[in-house]
Amino acid sequence: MVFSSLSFLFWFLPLTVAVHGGLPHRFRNGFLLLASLFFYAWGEPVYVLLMLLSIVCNFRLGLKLAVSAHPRQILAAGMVWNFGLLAVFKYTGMVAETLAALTGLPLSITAPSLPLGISFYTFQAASYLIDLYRGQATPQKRIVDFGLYITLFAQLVAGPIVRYPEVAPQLTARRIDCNGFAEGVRRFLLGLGKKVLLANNLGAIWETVHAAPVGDLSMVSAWVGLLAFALQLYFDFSGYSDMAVGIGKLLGFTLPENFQYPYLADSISAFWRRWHMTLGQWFRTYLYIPLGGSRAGRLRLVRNLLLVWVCTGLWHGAAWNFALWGLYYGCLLILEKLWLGRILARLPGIVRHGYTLLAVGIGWVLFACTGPGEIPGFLEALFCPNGHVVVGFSKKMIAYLMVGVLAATPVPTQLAGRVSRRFPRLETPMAAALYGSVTVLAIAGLVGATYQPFLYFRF
Amino acid sequence: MKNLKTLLPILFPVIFIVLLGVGAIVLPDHTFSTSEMRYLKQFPGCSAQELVSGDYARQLEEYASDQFPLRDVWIEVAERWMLLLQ
Repeated sequence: MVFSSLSFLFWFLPLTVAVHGGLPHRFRNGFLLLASLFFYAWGEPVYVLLMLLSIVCNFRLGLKLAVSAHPRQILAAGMVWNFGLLAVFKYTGMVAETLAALTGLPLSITAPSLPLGISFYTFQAASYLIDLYRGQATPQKRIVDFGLYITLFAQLVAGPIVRYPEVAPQLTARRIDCNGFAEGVRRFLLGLGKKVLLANNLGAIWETVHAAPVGDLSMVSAWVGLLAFALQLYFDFSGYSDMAVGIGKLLGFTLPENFQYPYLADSISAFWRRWHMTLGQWFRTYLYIPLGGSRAGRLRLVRNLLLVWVCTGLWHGAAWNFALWGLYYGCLLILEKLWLGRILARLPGIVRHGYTLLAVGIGWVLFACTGPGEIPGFLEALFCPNGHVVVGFSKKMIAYLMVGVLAATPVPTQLAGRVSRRFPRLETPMAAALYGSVTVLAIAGLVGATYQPFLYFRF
Repeated sequence: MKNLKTLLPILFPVIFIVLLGVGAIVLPDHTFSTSEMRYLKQFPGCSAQELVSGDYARQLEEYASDQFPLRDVWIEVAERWMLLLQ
Protein backbone atom coordinates (compact mmCIF):
# COMPACT_ATOMS: atom_id res chain seq x y z
CA MET A 1 0.00 0.00 0.00
CA VAL A 2 1.30 3.51 -0.65
CA PHE A 3 0.40 6.58 1.38
CA SER A 4 -0.92 8.40 -1.66
CA SER A 5 -3.48 5.74 -2.58
CA LEU A 6 -7.21 5.92 -2.00
CA SER A 7 -7.32 2.69 -0.02
CA PHE A 8 -4.71 4.00 2.38
CA LEU A 9 -6.07 7.52 2.77
CA PHE A 10 -9.76 6.71 3.14
CA TRP A 11 -9.87 3.33 4.83
CA PHE A 12 -6.62 1.98 6.14
CA LEU A 13 -5.33 5.08 7.89
CA PRO A 14 -8.59 6.35 9.50
CA LEU A 15 -9.54 2.86 10.68
CA THR A 16 -6.09 2.05 12.06
CA VAL A 17 -5.79 5.37 13.89
CA ALA A 18 -9.32 5.09 15.33
CA VAL A 19 -9.00 1.48 16.49
CA HIS A 20 -5.49 2.07 17.86
CA GLY A 21 -6.69 5.09 19.83
CA GLY A 22 -9.69 3.20 21.21
CA LEU A 23 -7.87 0.06 22.31
CA PRO A 24 -6.49 -0.45 25.84
CA HIS A 25 -2.73 0.14 25.93
CA ARG A 26 -1.74 -3.52 26.21
CA PHE A 27 -3.43 -4.43 22.91
CA ARG A 28 -2.15 -1.47 20.92
CA ASN A 29 1.21 -2.88 19.80
CA GLY A 30 -0.30 -6.20 18.75
CA PHE A 31 -2.94 -4.41 16.72
CA LEU A 32 -0.41 -2.08 15.09
CA LEU A 33 1.79 -5.05 14.20
CA LEU A 34 -1.12 -6.80 12.49
CA ALA A 35 -2.13 -3.59 10.70
CA SER A 36 1.45 -3.06 9.52
CA LEU A 37 1.71 -6.62 8.21
CA PHE A 38 -1.56 -6.10 6.34
CA PHE A 39 -0.20 -2.82 4.94
CA TYR A 40 2.90 -4.65 3.71
CA ALA A 41 1.07 -7.70 2.39
CA TRP A 42 -1.29 -5.51 0.34
CA GLY A 43 1.44 -4.96 -2.22
CA GLU A 44 3.82 -7.84 -1.39
CA PRO A 45 1.73 -10.82 -0.30
CA VAL A 46 4.60 -13.31 -0.59
CA TYR A 47 7.52 -11.28 0.74
CA VAL A 48 5.67 -10.64 3.97
CA LEU A 49 6.85 -14.15 4.88
CA LEU A 50 10.46 -13.13 4.29
CA MET A 51 9.97 -10.15 6.56
CA LEU A 52 8.40 -12.33 9.28
CA LEU A 53 11.33 -14.72 9.04
CA SER A 54 13.72 -11.80 9.33
CA ILE A 55 11.89 -10.50 12.41
CA VAL A 56 12.04 -13.89 14.16
CA CYS A 57 15.74 -14.31 13.32
CA ASN A 58 16.77 -10.87 14.49
CA PHE A 59 14.64 -11.16 17.62
CA ARG A 60 16.29 -14.47 18.60
CA LEU A 61 19.76 -13.18 17.74
CA GLY A 62 19.14 -10.11 19.90
CA LEU A 63 18.16 -12.22 22.90
CA LYS A 64 21.17 -14.51 22.40
CA LEU A 65 23.58 -11.63 21.92
CA ALA A 66 22.67 -10.20 25.31
CA VAL A 67 23.54 -13.35 27.27
CA SER A 68 26.15 -15.04 25.10
CA ALA A 69 29.81 -15.42 26.07
CA HIS A 70 30.71 -14.78 22.41
CA PRO A 71 28.62 -11.77 21.42
CA ARG A 72 30.96 -10.99 18.55
CA GLN A 73 30.14 -14.23 16.76
CA ILE A 74 26.44 -13.69 17.16
CA LEU A 75 26.74 -10.16 15.84
CA ALA A 76 28.67 -11.50 12.85
CA ALA A 77 25.96 -14.08 12.22
CA GLY A 78 23.35 -11.32 12.37
CA MET A 79 25.25 -9.19 9.86
CA VAL A 80 25.68 -12.12 7.50
CA TRP A 81 21.96 -12.87 7.72
CA ASN A 82 20.75 -9.29 7.21
CA PHE A 83 23.17 -8.15 4.57
CA GLY A 84 23.08 -11.59 2.97
CA LEU A 85 19.34 -11.21 2.41
CA LEU A 86 19.89 -7.76 1.00
CA ALA A 87 22.66 -9.03 -1.27
CA VAL A 88 20.61 -11.92 -2.61
CA PHE A 89 17.43 -9.98 -3.24
CA LYS A 90 18.87 -6.67 -4.31
CA TYR A 91 22.24 -7.25 -5.94
CA THR A 92 22.10 -10.72 -7.56
CA GLY A 93 20.96 -9.35 -10.89
CA MET A 94 23.57 -6.62 -10.94
CA VAL A 95 26.44 -8.96 -10.05
CA ALA A 96 25.34 -11.57 -12.61
CA GLU A 97 25.02 -8.99 -15.37
CA THR A 98 28.40 -7.49 -14.58
CA LEU A 99 30.10 -10.88 -14.50
CA ALA A 100 28.47 -11.82 -17.77
CA ALA A 101 29.61 -8.57 -19.37
CA LEU A 102 33.18 -8.94 -18.05
CA THR A 103 33.76 -12.60 -18.75
CA GLY A 104 31.42 -13.19 -21.64
CA LEU A 105 29.93 -16.18 -19.82
CA PRO A 106 26.29 -16.88 -20.60
CA LEU A 107 25.08 -16.08 -17.07
CA SER A 108 21.37 -15.65 -17.35
CA ILE A 109 20.12 -15.59 -13.78
CA THR A 110 16.59 -14.42 -13.31
CA ALA A 111 17.05 -12.18 -10.30
CA PRO A 112 14.22 -12.19 -7.74
CA SER A 113 12.04 -9.08 -7.65
CA LEU A 114 13.05 -6.63 -4.95
CA PRO A 115 11.00 -6.99 -1.74
CA LEU A 116 9.36 -3.71 -0.80
CA GLY A 117 11.32 -1.68 1.75
CA ILE A 118 14.02 -4.34 2.25
CA SER A 119 16.80 -1.74 2.23
CA PHE A 120 15.06 0.13 5.03
CA TYR A 121 14.13 -2.73 7.32
CA THR A 122 17.46 -4.50 6.87
CA PHE A 123 19.23 -1.38 8.05
CA GLN A 124 16.96 -1.06 11.06
CA ALA A 125 17.46 -4.68 12.05
CA ALA A 126 21.25 -4.41 11.63
CA SER A 127 21.35 -1.23 13.72
CA TYR A 128 19.41 -3.02 16.49
CA LEU A 129 21.98 -5.81 16.72
CA ILE A 130 24.96 -3.43 16.58
CA ASP A 131 23.45 -1.20 19.27
CA LEU A 132 22.92 -4.27 21.47
CA TYR A 133 26.50 -5.36 20.92
CA ARG A 134 27.78 -1.91 21.82
CA GLY A 135 25.63 -1.85 24.94
CA GLN A 136 23.66 1.14 23.65
CA ALA A 137 20.37 -0.75 23.81
CA THR A 138 18.78 -3.45 25.90
CA PRO A 139 17.29 -6.45 24.08
CA GLN A 140 13.56 -6.40 23.43
CA LYS A 141 11.98 -9.36 25.19
CA ARG A 142 8.58 -9.22 23.53
CA ILE A 143 8.49 -10.33 19.93
CA VAL A 144 5.38 -8.24 19.25
CA ASP A 145 7.17 -5.05 20.27
CA PHE A 146 10.28 -5.98 18.30
CA GLY A 147 8.14 -6.86 15.27
CA LEU A 148 6.47 -3.48 15.54
CA TYR A 149 9.86 -1.72 15.64
CA ILE A 150 10.72 -3.34 12.31
CA THR A 151 7.33 -3.14 10.59
CA LEU A 152 5.58 0.03 11.83
CA PHE A 153 3.81 1.01 8.61
CA ALA A 154 4.61 4.69 9.00
CA GLN A 155 8.30 4.04 8.27
CA LEU A 156 8.35 0.51 6.86
CA VAL A 157 8.73 1.09 3.15
CA ALA A 158 10.55 4.41 2.75
CA GLY A 159 11.98 5.47 6.11
CA PRO A 160 12.92 7.41 8.12
CA ILE A 161 15.38 4.78 9.33
CA VAL A 162 14.77 4.67 13.06
CA ARG A 163 17.37 3.49 15.58
CA TYR A 164 15.99 1.17 18.20
CA PRO A 165 17.03 3.18 21.30
CA GLU A 166 15.14 6.17 19.87
CA VAL A 167 11.77 4.41 19.82
CA ALA A 168 12.21 1.77 22.54
CA PRO A 169 10.53 3.94 25.23
CA GLN A 170 7.68 4.74 22.83
CA LEU A 171 7.06 1.05 22.21
CA THR A 172 6.23 0.59 25.90
CA ALA A 173 4.35 3.79 26.62
CA ARG A 174 3.05 6.53 24.36
CA ARG A 175 0.37 9.14 24.65
CA ILE A 176 -1.85 10.61 21.97
CA ASP A 177 -3.27 13.99 22.89
CA CYS A 178 -5.26 16.61 21.06
CA ASN A 179 -2.17 18.62 20.08
CA GLY A 180 -0.25 15.61 18.85
CA PHE A 181 -3.23 14.46 16.81
CA ALA A 182 -3.72 17.87 15.20
CA GLU A 183 -0.01 18.15 14.46
CA GLY A 184 -0.05 14.67 12.94
CA VAL A 185 -2.93 15.51 10.62
CA ARG A 186 -1.30 18.79 9.56
CA ARG A 187 2.03 17.15 8.88
CA PHE A 188 0.42 14.32 6.94
CA LEU A 189 -1.60 16.70 4.76
CA LEU A 190 1.46 18.83 4.03
CA GLY A 191 3.33 15.73 2.94
CA LEU A 192 0.40 14.56 0.83
CA GLY A 193 0.26 17.98 -0.81
CA LYS A 194 4.00 17.91 -1.54
CA LYS A 195 3.66 14.49 -3.15
CA VAL A 196 0.40 14.81 -5.10
CA LEU A 197 0.37 18.50 -5.98
CA LEU A 198 4.06 19.28 -6.42
CA ALA A 199 6.15 16.15 -6.99
CA ASN A 200 3.80 14.49 -9.49
CA ASN A 201 3.45 17.63 -11.60
CA LEU A 202 7.15 18.47 -11.49
CA GLY A 203 7.79 14.87 -12.46
CA ALA A 204 5.68 15.39 -15.58
CA ILE A 205 8.00 18.26 -16.62
CA TRP A 206 11.07 16.09 -16.14
CA GLU A 207 9.43 13.28 -18.13
CA THR A 208 8.81 15.67 -21.03
CA VAL A 209 12.48 16.58 -21.12
CA HIS A 210 13.75 13.06 -20.43
CA ALA A 211 11.59 11.59 -23.21
CA ALA A 212 13.58 13.49 -25.85
CA PRO A 213 16.87 11.92 -27.02
CA VAL A 214 19.73 13.63 -25.12
CA GLY A 215 21.36 14.64 -28.40
CA ASP A 216 18.34 16.80 -29.27
CA LEU A 217 18.16 18.69 -25.97
CA SER A 218 18.74 22.41 -25.95
CA MET A 219 20.63 23.97 -23.06
CA VAL A 220 17.54 25.62 -21.61
CA SER A 221 15.49 22.41 -21.80
CA ALA A 222 18.22 20.46 -20.07
CA TRP A 223 18.47 22.95 -17.20
CA VAL A 224 14.70 23.20 -16.80
CA GLY A 225 14.45 19.42 -16.81
CA LEU A 226 17.21 19.10 -14.24
CA LEU A 227 15.58 21.69 -11.98
CA ALA A 228 12.26 19.86 -12.28
CA PHE A 229 13.91 16.54 -11.42
CA ALA A 230 15.77 17.98 -8.42
CA LEU A 231 12.54 19.47 -7.07
CA GLN A 232 10.48 16.38 -7.84
CA LEU A 233 12.88 14.13 -5.95
CA TYR A 234 12.90 16.48 -2.98
CA PHE A 235 9.12 16.86 -2.73
CA ASP A 236 8.51 13.20 -3.39
CA PHE A 237 10.82 11.94 -0.70
CA SER A 238 10.46 14.72 1.86
CA GLY A 239 6.69 14.59 1.33
CA TYR A 240 6.81 10.88 2.09
CA SER A 241 8.89 11.57 5.21
CA ASP A 242 6.44 14.28 6.31
CA MET A 243 3.58 11.81 5.96
CA ALA A 244 5.57 9.24 7.92
CA VAL A 245 6.27 11.66 10.77
CA GLY A 246 2.61 12.77 10.72
CA ILE A 247 1.30 9.21 10.85
CA GLY A 248 3.74 8.52 13.68
CA LYS A 249 2.22 11.42 15.63
CA LEU A 250 -1.31 10.07 15.04
CA LEU A 251 -0.17 6.84 16.70
CA GLY A 252 1.77 8.55 19.49
CA PHE A 253 5.26 8.02 18.00
CA THR A 254 7.87 10.71 17.49
CA LEU A 255 9.86 9.64 14.44
CA PRO A 256 13.13 11.35 13.49
CA GLU A 257 13.20 14.09 10.87
CA ASN A 258 14.65 13.19 7.49
CA PHE A 259 15.00 16.53 5.67
CA GLN A 260 15.90 20.07 6.58
CA TYR A 261 15.74 22.31 3.51
CA PRO A 262 18.64 20.52 1.79
CA TYR A 263 18.78 22.92 -1.15
CA LEU A 264 19.73 25.72 1.23
CA ALA A 265 22.99 23.95 2.13
CA ASP A 266 26.20 25.85 1.45
CA SER A 267 28.50 22.84 1.05
CA ILE A 268 28.18 19.21 0.06
CA SER A 269 28.82 18.04 3.61
CA ALA A 270 26.04 20.35 4.79
CA PHE A 271 23.76 19.06 2.01
CA TRP A 272 24.17 15.52 3.27
CA ARG A 273 23.40 16.61 6.81
CA ARG A 274 20.07 17.93 5.48
CA TRP A 275 19.07 15.33 2.85
CA HIS A 276 17.85 11.88 3.94
CA MET A 277 19.35 12.60 7.33
CA THR A 278 18.60 9.22 8.92
CA LEU A 279 20.46 7.33 6.17
CA GLY A 280 23.49 9.62 6.53
CA GLN A 281 23.45 9.10 10.29
CA TRP A 282 23.23 5.33 9.81
CA PHE A 283 26.30 5.20 7.58
CA ARG A 284 28.15 7.57 9.89
CA THR A 285 27.37 5.62 13.06
CA TYR A 286 27.77 2.09 11.75
CA LEU A 287 30.36 2.38 8.98
CA TYR A 288 32.31 5.65 8.80
CA ILE A 289 33.18 6.03 12.48
CA PRO A 290 34.01 2.32 13.08
CA LEU A 291 36.39 2.54 10.10
CA GLY A 292 38.24 5.33 11.90
CA GLY A 293 36.35 8.29 10.43
CA SER A 294 38.59 11.30 9.87
CA ARG A 295 40.86 10.62 12.84
CA ALA A 296 43.20 8.02 11.41
CA GLY A 297 45.24 10.03 8.97
CA ARG A 298 44.60 11.39 5.50
CA LEU A 299 44.95 8.14 3.62
CA ARG A 300 42.46 6.39 5.87
CA LEU A 301 40.08 9.33 5.57
CA VAL A 302 40.14 9.07 1.79
CA ARG A 303 39.60 5.30 1.91
CA ASN A 304 36.76 5.63 4.45
CA LEU A 305 34.91 8.30 2.55
CA LEU A 306 35.18 6.45 -0.75
CA LEU A 307 33.97 3.20 0.79
CA VAL A 308 31.08 4.81 2.68
CA TRP A 309 29.91 6.73 -0.37
CA VAL A 310 30.10 3.89 -2.85
CA CYS A 311 27.98 1.93 -0.35
CA THR A 312 25.58 4.86 -0.02
CA GLY A 313 25.33 5.02 -3.80
CA LEU A 314 24.66 1.30 -4.15
CA TRP A 315 22.10 1.45 -1.34
CA HIS A 316 20.05 3.73 -3.60
CA GLY A 317 19.91 1.19 -6.37
CA ALA A 318 21.62 -1.90 -7.70
CA ALA A 319 23.15 -0.29 -10.78
CA TRP A 320 26.57 1.11 -11.61
CA ASN A 321 25.30 4.63 -12.20
CA PHE A 322 24.33 4.74 -8.50
CA ALA A 323 27.83 3.58 -7.53
CA LEU A 324 29.22 6.34 -9.74
CA TRP A 325 26.87 8.83 -8.10
CA GLY A 326 28.10 7.73 -4.66
CA LEU A 327 31.73 7.86 -5.78
CA TYR A 328 31.17 11.39 -7.09
CA TYR A 329 29.95 12.50 -3.66
CA GLY A 330 32.80 10.64 -1.98
CA CYS A 331 35.29 12.60 -4.10
CA LEU A 332 33.58 15.92 -3.44
CA LEU A 333 33.56 15.27 0.29
CA ILE A 334 37.25 14.30 0.26
CA LEU A 335 38.05 17.56 -1.53
CA GLU A 336 35.97 19.53 0.98
CA LYS A 337 37.59 17.83 3.96
CA LEU A 338 41.12 18.25 2.65
CA TRP A 339 41.18 21.80 1.33
CA LEU A 340 38.09 22.97 -0.55
CA GLY A 341 36.16 23.41 2.72
CA ARG A 342 38.70 25.93 4.02
CA ILE A 343 38.59 27.93 0.80
CA LEU A 344 34.79 27.82 0.67
CA ALA A 345 34.54 29.17 4.21
CA ARG A 346 36.28 32.35 3.08
CA LEU A 347 34.06 32.90 0.01
CA PRO A 348 30.79 34.87 0.02
CA GLY A 349 27.57 32.97 0.72
CA ILE A 350 26.26 33.23 -2.83
CA VAL A 351 29.33 31.44 -4.21
CA ARG A 352 29.06 28.66 -1.63
CA HIS A 353 25.36 28.14 -2.37
CA GLY A 354 25.97 28.30 -6.10
CA TYR A 355 28.74 25.71 -5.90
CA THR A 356 26.57 23.39 -3.79
CA LEU A 357 23.53 23.60 -6.07
CA LEU A 358 25.66 23.05 -9.17
CA ALA A 359 27.44 20.06 -7.62
CA VAL A 360 24.17 18.53 -6.42
CA GLY A 361 22.59 19.16 -9.83
CA ILE A 362 25.38 17.31 -11.62
CA GLY A 363 24.91 14.57 -9.04
CA TRP A 364 21.26 14.25 -10.03
CA VAL A 365 22.29 13.80 -13.67
CA LEU A 366 24.27 10.73 -12.62
CA PHE A 367 21.30 9.61 -10.52
CA ALA A 368 18.60 10.10 -13.13
CA CYS A 369 20.30 9.00 -16.35
CA THR A 370 20.43 5.23 -16.40
CA GLY A 371 20.78 4.53 -20.11
CA PRO A 372 24.22 3.94 -21.66
CA GLY A 373 25.85 7.12 -22.91
CA GLU A 374 23.07 9.22 -21.45
CA ILE A 375 25.19 10.83 -18.74
CA PRO A 376 27.82 12.46 -21.02
CA GLY A 377 25.05 13.44 -23.46
CA PHE A 378 23.02 15.18 -20.80
CA LEU A 379 26.08 16.92 -19.34
CA GLU A 380 26.96 18.14 -22.83
CA ALA A 381 23.46 19.54 -23.28
CA LEU A 382 23.79 21.34 -19.93
CA PHE A 383 27.12 22.99 -20.59
CA CYS A 384 27.57 23.31 -24.35
CA PRO A 385 25.22 25.71 -26.17
CA ASN A 386 24.08 23.81 -29.25
CA GLY A 387 21.33 25.84 -30.90
CA HIS A 388 18.69 23.14 -30.53
CA VAL A 389 15.08 24.25 -30.23
CA VAL A 390 13.74 24.70 -26.71
CA VAL A 391 11.00 22.23 -25.76
CA GLY A 392 7.68 24.08 -25.49
CA PHE A 393 7.25 24.88 -21.80
CA SER A 394 3.74 25.98 -20.87
CA LYS A 395 2.93 28.69 -18.33
CA LYS A 396 1.73 25.91 -16.08
CA MET A 397 5.15 24.27 -16.04
CA ILE A 398 6.84 27.55 -15.23
CA ALA A 399 4.32 28.20 -12.46
CA TYR A 400 5.01 24.80 -10.94
CA LEU A 401 8.75 25.35 -11.08
CA MET A 402 8.42 28.72 -9.37
CA VAL A 403 6.15 27.37 -6.66
CA GLY A 404 8.50 24.42 -6.28
CA VAL A 405 11.58 26.60 -5.83
CA LEU A 406 9.77 28.73 -3.26
CA ALA A 407 8.37 25.74 -1.39
CA ALA A 408 11.83 24.18 -1.12
CA THR A 409 12.86 27.11 1.13
CA PRO A 410 11.52 28.15 4.56
CA VAL A 411 9.97 31.29 2.99
CA PRO A 412 6.33 30.08 2.99
CA THR A 413 6.54 29.01 6.65
CA GLN A 414 8.20 32.28 7.65
CA LEU A 415 5.62 34.27 5.72
CA ALA A 416 2.73 32.44 7.36
CA GLY A 417 4.33 32.99 10.76
CA ARG A 418 4.73 36.69 10.10
CA VAL A 419 1.14 37.14 8.90
CA SER A 420 -0.29 35.28 11.88
CA ARG A 421 1.79 37.34 14.32
CA ARG A 422 0.62 40.54 12.68
CA PHE A 423 -3.01 39.44 12.38
CA PRO A 424 -3.56 36.82 15.12
CA ARG A 425 -7.23 36.47 14.25
CA LEU A 426 -6.39 35.31 10.75
CA GLU A 427 -4.26 32.39 11.91
CA THR A 428 -7.03 29.79 12.28
CA PRO A 429 -8.99 30.71 9.13
CA MET A 430 -5.76 30.78 7.11
CA ALA A 431 -4.71 27.35 8.37
CA ALA A 432 -8.21 25.98 7.77
CA ALA A 433 -8.16 27.31 4.19
CA LEU A 434 -4.70 25.86 3.56
CA TYR A 435 -5.39 22.36 4.88
CA GLY A 436 -8.89 22.33 3.39
CA SER A 437 -7.69 23.21 -0.09
CA VAL A 438 -4.74 20.80 0.09
CA THR A 439 -7.22 18.04 0.99
CA VAL A 440 -9.61 18.83 -1.85
CA LEU A 441 -6.89 19.26 -4.47
CA ALA A 442 -4.97 16.20 -3.35
CA ILE A 443 -8.10 14.03 -3.57
CA ALA A 444 -8.83 15.49 -6.99
CA GLY A 445 -5.25 14.72 -7.97
CA LEU A 446 -5.55 11.13 -6.74
CA VAL A 447 -8.97 10.38 -8.23
CA GLY A 448 -8.69 12.54 -11.30
CA ALA A 449 -5.25 11.50 -12.47
CA THR A 450 -3.66 8.11 -12.89
CA TYR A 451 -1.82 7.54 -9.69
CA GLN A 452 1.96 7.58 -9.54
CA PRO A 453 3.94 5.53 -7.06
CA PHE A 454 6.81 6.92 -5.01
CA LEU A 455 10.28 7.29 -6.46
CA TYR A 456 12.03 6.17 -3.33
CA PHE A 457 9.96 3.05 -3.22
CA ARG A 458 12.27 0.58 -4.83
CA PHE A 459 15.35 1.19 -2.73
CA MET B 1 -10.95 26.94 23.77
CA LYS B 2 -7.30 26.27 23.13
CA ASN B 3 -8.14 22.78 21.90
CA LEU B 4 -10.74 24.21 19.56
CA LYS B 5 -8.16 26.53 18.03
CA THR B 6 -5.83 23.58 17.45
CA LEU B 7 -8.50 21.32 16.03
CA LEU B 8 -10.44 23.81 13.90
CA PRO B 9 -8.05 23.91 10.92
CA ILE B 10 -8.03 20.13 10.59
CA LEU B 11 -11.71 19.59 11.31
CA PHE B 12 -12.79 19.85 7.69
CA PRO B 13 -10.10 17.52 6.27
CA VAL B 14 -10.75 14.86 8.91
CA ILE B 15 -14.55 14.91 8.61
CA PHE B 16 -14.34 15.08 4.83
CA ILE B 17 -12.02 12.09 4.59
CA VAL B 18 -14.18 10.02 6.95
CA LEU B 19 -17.39 10.93 5.10
CA LEU B 20 -15.92 10.08 1.71
CA GLY B 21 -14.52 6.83 3.05
CA VAL B 22 -17.88 5.80 4.48
CA GLY B 23 -19.71 7.10 1.41
CA ALA B 24 -17.60 4.98 -0.91
CA ILE B 25 -18.70 1.86 0.95
CA VAL B 26 -22.36 2.79 1.48
CA LEU B 27 -23.25 4.42 -1.84
CA PRO B 28 -24.37 2.17 -4.72
CA ASP B 29 -21.85 1.34 -7.48
CA HIS B 30 -22.17 2.70 -11.01
CA THR B 31 -21.71 0.59 -14.10
CA PHE B 32 -21.02 3.16 -16.80
CA SER B 33 -19.42 6.58 -16.91
CA THR B 34 -21.05 8.81 -19.54
CA SER B 35 -18.39 11.50 -19.22
CA GLU B 36 -15.57 9.04 -19.88
CA MET B 37 -17.56 6.73 -22.18
CA ARG B 38 -16.39 3.54 -20.54
CA TYR B 39 -17.55 0.80 -18.19
CA LEU B 40 -16.42 1.28 -14.61
CA LYS B 41 -14.60 -1.38 -12.65
CA GLN B 42 -16.93 -3.53 -10.53
CA PHE B 43 -16.09 -5.17 -7.22
CA PRO B 44 -13.53 -7.81 -8.18
CA GLY B 45 -14.01 -11.49 -7.46
CA CYS B 46 -11.08 -13.05 -5.71
CA SER B 47 -8.95 -16.02 -6.67
CA ALA B 48 -6.14 -17.47 -4.57
CA GLN B 49 -3.67 -16.83 -7.36
CA GLU B 50 -4.57 -13.15 -7.64
CA LEU B 51 -4.42 -12.77 -3.89
CA VAL B 52 -0.89 -14.16 -3.74
CA SER B 53 0.44 -12.17 -6.69
CA GLY B 54 -0.89 -8.87 -5.38
CA ASP B 55 -3.16 -8.51 -8.43
CA TYR B 56 -6.24 -8.55 -6.25
CA ALA B 57 -5.04 -5.51 -4.29
CA ARG B 58 -4.39 -3.69 -7.58
CA GLN B 59 -7.91 -4.52 -8.79
CA LEU B 60 -9.42 -3.28 -5.53
CA GLU B 61 -7.45 -0.06 -5.92
CA GLU B 62 -8.85 0.37 -9.43
CA TYR B 63 -12.36 -0.38 -8.18
CA ALA B 64 -12.01 2.19 -5.39
CA SER B 65 -10.91 4.83 -7.86
CA ASP B 66 -13.67 4.07 -10.40
CA GLN B 67 -16.45 3.97 -7.82
CA PHE B 68 -15.22 6.87 -5.69
CA PRO B 69 -18.02 9.17 -4.47
CA LEU B 70 -18.47 12.24 -6.70
CA ARG B 71 -15.94 10.87 -9.15
CA ASP B 72 -17.04 13.22 -11.93
CA VAL B 73 -16.70 16.22 -9.62
CA TRP B 74 -13.13 15.24 -8.68
CA ILE B 75 -12.14 14.79 -12.29
CA GLU B 76 -13.58 18.19 -13.06
CA VAL B 77 -11.73 19.82 -10.16
CA ALA B 78 -8.51 18.22 -11.40
CA GLU B 79 -9.15 19.45 -14.95
CA ARG B 80 -10.04 23.00 -13.85
CA TRP B 81 -6.87 23.08 -11.77
CA MET B 82 -4.88 22.10 -14.84
CA LEU B 83 -6.64 24.68 -17.04
CA LEU B 84 -6.12 27.38 -14.44
CA LEU B 85 -2.38 27.08 -14.90
CA GLN B 86 -2.17 26.62 -18.64
